[in-house]
Amino acid sequence: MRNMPSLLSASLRGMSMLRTITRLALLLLLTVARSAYAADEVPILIRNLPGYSLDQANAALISAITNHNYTFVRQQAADARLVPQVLEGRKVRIVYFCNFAKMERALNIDVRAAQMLPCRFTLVEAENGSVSLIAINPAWLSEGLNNPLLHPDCLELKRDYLSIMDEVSL
Amino acid sequence: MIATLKVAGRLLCLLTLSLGSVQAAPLIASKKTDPRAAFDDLAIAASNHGYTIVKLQPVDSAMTKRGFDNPHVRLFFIGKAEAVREAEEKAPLLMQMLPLRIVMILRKDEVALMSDDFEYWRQFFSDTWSRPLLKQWEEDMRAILNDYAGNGRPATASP
Repeated sequence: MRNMPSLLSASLRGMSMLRTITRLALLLLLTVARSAYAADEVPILIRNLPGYSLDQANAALISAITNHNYTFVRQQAADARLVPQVLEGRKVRIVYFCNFAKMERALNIDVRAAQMLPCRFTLVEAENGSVSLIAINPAWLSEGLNNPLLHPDCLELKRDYLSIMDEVSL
Repeated sequence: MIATLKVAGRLLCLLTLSLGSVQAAPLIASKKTDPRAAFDDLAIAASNHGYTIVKLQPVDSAMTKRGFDNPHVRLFFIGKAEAVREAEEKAPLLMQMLPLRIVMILRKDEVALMSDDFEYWRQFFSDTWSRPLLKQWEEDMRAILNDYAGNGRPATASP
C-alpha cells in the first residue's frame, strides 16, 4: 500500500502533465488558427462612389458609421494643421470613428492594436470629380501583428468596414 | 517525460511565433519619464525633424470617462505638409498612413513610444514611388524616437 506523500506526489505529477498537455493543445490550436489566416488579406479596401460629391459621400459615411454602432470622432483634411486652414486640401477628407467596447477588447488583447486606432476611412475626390472611399484593411494589419488571439477581432472589424462601405455605396 | 513535453511545448511556441510569412516590427523607444515631459520631448523631437504634432488622442481618458478599462495609451499624429504633397503626387494609397501615428504607452514611471510598422508596409508597397517614401518616413520616425529616447540628438529644440 502506498503512503500519503507518494500518492500526493503522483497526483501532482499527473496534474503537471495535464497542464502541459493542455498548453500543447492550445499551442497547436493557435498554430492551426494562424495557418488559417496566413497572409491572404489585401492591404487596402476601396469602394468607388459614382454619382456622389465629396460632401454627399461624407454625409452618407458618417450616417453609416453611426448606423453600425460606431461613434464618429472627427474629420479633417490630410494637411490639417500643417498649412493655414484656408489652404487645406479639399480633395481628401479623413474620417475617424471608433467603438469603445471593441477598442477596449482589442487593447486588452494586444496593445499593438493601437496601430489600428482610431478606425478610419479616407474619402478621395479624383481630378474628374469621382469619389472613392478607402480604408486600411484591419485584417491585413493584424496579419502583420501575428497575434492569433487578436485576429478574429480584426476580421470582425474588417466585416464592419465592408458593411459600412456597402451602406455608403448603396 | 514532463521535461521533454515542456521543451516540446516551448519549441512549438517558438514555431508558432515564427511561422508568419511576414512579421511586424514597429519602432519603439522608451525612457523613464512622466507623460507631460514625454509629450514635450516628443514635440521637440518631432520639430527637430520638420514634423508637427497635429493631433493628440487621449484614448486613456476617453475610455475611463466612459467606464472602460484604462488602456494607458495615448495616440499622437505627426505630419509635415511636404510629406502629404509627396504622397498625394507619387503614391496616393500611402495617404492612409498620414498623418503618421505614434502610440504612447504609459507604464508606472516609464513612457514608451511606438510607431506603425513601416517595414511591413514596404513588403506590400514595393513600387518605385512607394518604397522610397516609406523608407524616408521610417528614417524620420527612427530619428524622432531616437531623439525622444536621448540616443540621437539631445532632446532640445533646434535653434
